[in-house]
Formats: sequence, structure tokens, C-alpha cells
Amino acid sequence: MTVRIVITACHGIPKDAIATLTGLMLRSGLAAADACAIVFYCRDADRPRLLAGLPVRSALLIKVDRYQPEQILTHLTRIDAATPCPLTLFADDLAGRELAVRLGYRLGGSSLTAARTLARHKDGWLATRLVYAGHGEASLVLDRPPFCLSVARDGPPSDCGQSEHTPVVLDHDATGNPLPPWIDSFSPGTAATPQGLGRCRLLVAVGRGAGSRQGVQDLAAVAAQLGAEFGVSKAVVMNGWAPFDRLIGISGAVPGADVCIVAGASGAPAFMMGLKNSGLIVAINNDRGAPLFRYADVGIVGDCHRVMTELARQLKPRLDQGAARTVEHHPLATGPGRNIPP
Amino acid sequence: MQPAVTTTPIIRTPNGLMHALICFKIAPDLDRWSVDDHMDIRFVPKVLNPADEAALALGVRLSTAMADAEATPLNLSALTVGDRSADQTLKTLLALRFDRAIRLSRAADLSFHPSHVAAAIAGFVIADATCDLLLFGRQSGPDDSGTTPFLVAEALGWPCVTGVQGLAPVNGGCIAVQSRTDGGPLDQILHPPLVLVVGDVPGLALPVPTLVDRMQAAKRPITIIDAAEPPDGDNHDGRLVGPVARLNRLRAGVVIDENDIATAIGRLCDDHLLPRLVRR
Repeated sequence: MTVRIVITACHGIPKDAIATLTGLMLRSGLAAADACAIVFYCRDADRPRLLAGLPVRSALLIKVDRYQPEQILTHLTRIDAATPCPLTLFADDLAGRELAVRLGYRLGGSSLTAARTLARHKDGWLATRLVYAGHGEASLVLDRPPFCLSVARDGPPSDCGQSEHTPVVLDHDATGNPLPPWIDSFSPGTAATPQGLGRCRLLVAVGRGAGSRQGVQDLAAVAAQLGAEFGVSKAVVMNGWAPFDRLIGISGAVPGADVCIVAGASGAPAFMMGLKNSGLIVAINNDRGAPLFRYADVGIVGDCHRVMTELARQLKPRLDQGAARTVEHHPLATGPGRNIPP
Repeated sequence: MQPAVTTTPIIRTPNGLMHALICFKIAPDLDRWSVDDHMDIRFVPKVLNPADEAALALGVRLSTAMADAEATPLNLSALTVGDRSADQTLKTLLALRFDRAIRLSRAADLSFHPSHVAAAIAGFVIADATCDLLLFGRQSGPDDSGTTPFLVAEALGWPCVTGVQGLAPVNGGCIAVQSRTDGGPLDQILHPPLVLVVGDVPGLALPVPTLVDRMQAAKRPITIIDAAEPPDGDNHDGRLVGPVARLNRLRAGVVIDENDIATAIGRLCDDHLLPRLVRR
């Protein structure tokens, strides 16, 4: 076994993480025949879909009560003691980063977070990761096995094309364990999480140039008029102008939009990283020298409120018209003139 | 793990207190960096890392909450690893009523050596033997590795909570910890000792000390200790090879120039948006 991938599916199937891990494996010449997966999950309802798309020869399923890093690390350490593996890959979410570093320490090996590329090296593995707020990329040699890495979300995802059934070599129910002694009690909290943004046709992403909480709300209303998803930069969230679940960027959502309109943002790399999966990027900023324009395909220099208002005035009727025409020509349309609400 | 070498004696706080040690970093302010092909950030002005400022502010907030609740008093210490560029911030923290301001002295740049930073911090915590809560910011920049808190947690054998959003005192020496996980928010009541990694907390910033507090803090010393080196075989970092490469993520950047916004928007719609948004 050359590589082991660890999936934490305690909160549902992490399809994006699986695609990202698959992409790195394919680019690094790691064959599915040499790979196995360890999948941690909580809900029986997820079980039939846990192995879909996994680029591995075999899998271990472990059912746990909930995601609890100390317990998962204990499982991983025991598994590695029984079946050592030189390379373990994790997704680069909160859980994956923590598990990669801590498992690397426990196994006496080396670790790296947010690896973008991975190639064999005479001393072990050569990996790259972003540094300096996304302006640069560093190359690092990992020379102390075993190697534990989390895989950056900004690499191109892939579908492994694995259609065959992945054999499950172990199906273990680890539920019902008592709480670790340092946990007195726990309950679901109430804070928002950045999970509301995903694949969409049109996204409006707003930065600090919106000017105020009211300014952000005005632009959100314009986005709603256009039927667009709405996201914001970290500066907007940190100012308390929008909830955390709208955060786009390296510490928030990385939505994929056919068209992304960025209004009133400077173009900070951490924010633009969240827009990397966008098809067309349109920049709106009143500073012609803003870096945003260099990261965009096309741009308009002007006040973001004025430009967005005018954009809604011109674009909305034409989108409505286009949607109506699409339905008229759609084979499932039941009659002429049927319209789709924006 | 080797204990830190103490050059300035640490006055142990009496038992019966809860001790929080909050780690911070003075990092280059990359928003003020004019990027060029040399990728040299040595001369970029440095600031208190905003993620660590959130951790420091959360510590101050917890201290106030514990005093208000007449719970176990919280002894607050701030710690950094590095050179004297952090001393101004340490003085500010003393002015904000931090009980101790500690610098683990290392002249070398440890940017790509989180194991060295973690060994220094863990060595101090072991030698000091008072810490109950160890707080960190989530990372020192948008693309920094964010590994130090995890390495420290492992070196100490302490549990670790990431994405921490809020802390509150609870009876019985426990702490209520609000955190954000990949699956949603989580509220826990936990027993120290703990490593707590503070996530993005909107609107959380350090208060500004008064002039009187600053003047009083000027007389209080910063504790300076030689940072411990990681023992042989305790280095888990990758080895940087070659210079950092500049990334080019630029797109076409075509600016639509028209005399008025309406005409520019018309062109944007016709040439770029409608072909992609409306199936013809």
C-alpha cells in the first residue's frame, strides 16, 4: 500500500474533498491500485454513498458518534501500527489540517498542510504550497516518513472514473464510546458556518468597498433581483456587515460560478482564491489601479452601487426574457409563454 | 522535549488561579507589500498578526467575564517567539493588564520551521508548569501553514479545539467553548488543560490602553527567555528548497471604457454576460 486517504464524512459526503484528493493523486502518479481509504462516518443513511468516486483499491469504514479529533487520531494511529503506510492524504478542511499535522507528529513523520502538488523526490516527496498570502509558492521536501498531508482546495479537482464497487475490507462500529474525560458535555451550537455557497450560475461577491452594512444589504438586494448567489470578503464579515455563512475565500467557501461579479473588493489573494473556480470574473471598483482588475476577465471602473444598480436595470429584463425563451424551446415545456421566476 | 533555558526568573503566580497563556506572532503586513519577482518580505513592515489579536482579545474578554462572574480569577500571559520587534506589542499587552509578557528569544527566521516554534512554546509551558489554557490564532497569514498549535498540543499531550469563537467561565474549573467545525457550530464544556485555536471572530479586537496604563506598564519588565531548540528527531517540517516562486494568477483584465456607465454596462451585458447566462 503506497497511499492512504482519510475521509471524514461525519457531516455528509465531502464530494469536493474527494474530487480534490483524486486530482492530486492522478497528477502525482499515485495509482488507485496502490491506495486504500479510511472513511469515518456517523449516519447510516450516508453509508451507501460513502465510497462513490474514491480512487482506491479498498476501504475501511468506521462509524463514530461524531467528529472528535482525538478519537479519530487514536483509530488512525492503531491502524497505522497494524498496517503502516508511507503516505496519508487528508482534505484541507479544518479537520483534515488538524489530523494531518497531529498524525504526522504521532507517527514520528513529517506533515504539510494545503499541499498543491506532490512529486516523488530522491529523499521522499517534493510538495508545493502557497505562501505569502497567495502571492508565492514554496517547494518543500518531506524527507521523514511517514508523510501526512492535507491537500489544498485550489488544485484542479478530478473524477477518478471509478465505477467498480470498492471492496470494504473492514466495517467497524466505534459508536457508543464514553466521552473523553476532558469533555464534560457538548451540544450543537448556533453560530453560522460558510456552507451556503456552492455551484451556481451567477455569483455577486462584495468587498469592503460596499461601505457599510446598509451598502452590503443594498448589493445583496441587487443580487437577489438578478437571481444570483451572494458572497462577501473577509473584511465585510469582520466588520460585522454580513454573516459568516456568506464568507468567500481561503477561510470560507470556494463556490464555482459560471459568472462572478466582484463589486467593491480590492482583489486580495485570499479572497480571490475563493473565486478561482469561477468561469467569467467581472470586476467593479472605482479605483482603476486596484489589483482586482488584474485578476478579472473584464471590468468596469465606477462606484460599485451605481454600477450594480444600472447592471440590474439592464440585465434583469434580458435574463427574464432569455429564461422565458429557454422554457418555450424546452421539450418539457407544457405550453407557450410559460415563464420562470428569476 | 527539553525545557526552556530561563535567563530571567519567572515569578510563579500562586495556586487557585486559572492561567491562560496566549501566543502571538509579529508578522509582515503583506497588504503593505509591493510584490516583485524577488519575493523578499524581510523589509515589509510588521504588525500583530490579526488572527492572534483575536486570540488575545478573546483572552481579555474571558478574564473580564470571569471577574464579573466572580469565578476563579484568570491570570493572563502573552507569549511570542522571535526578536525584539515584538517588544512594543508586549508592552501594550502589559498596559492591557496582562500579568506577564514573555518573549522566547530567537534571532533566526522561523517562518518555515513551525516545529522549532512549537518546541520553544511547549518547552516553556512544561518548564513554567502553570498553564491551563493555551490560546493561538488560527494562522499567521491567509496561506501560512497553521500547524504550530497542533504540534504544541501533541508535544504537550493536551486536547485541542479548533475554530474557537467564544469562551465563558463555568463552575467547577471548566470552560465553555464555542467553536465552529466543518459540520457546523459546537458548544462544549471542557476541563483544562486545553489548546484552543481561535478562528475568525467578527468584530473581535484588542482594546486600546489608556495613557496611564501605558505609563505604568512601561515600568514592568518583559520576560525574555532563550527559546528551546527542538530535540533531535522532533522536526516534522518540510525542508524549503529553492526560492519562493511568484505566482501569476492574472486574467485578461480588460476594462470597458465608455463615457457613461449605462453604455459600459450595455457592452458588458452584450459581449460577456448574456452569452454565458442565457441559452440561445
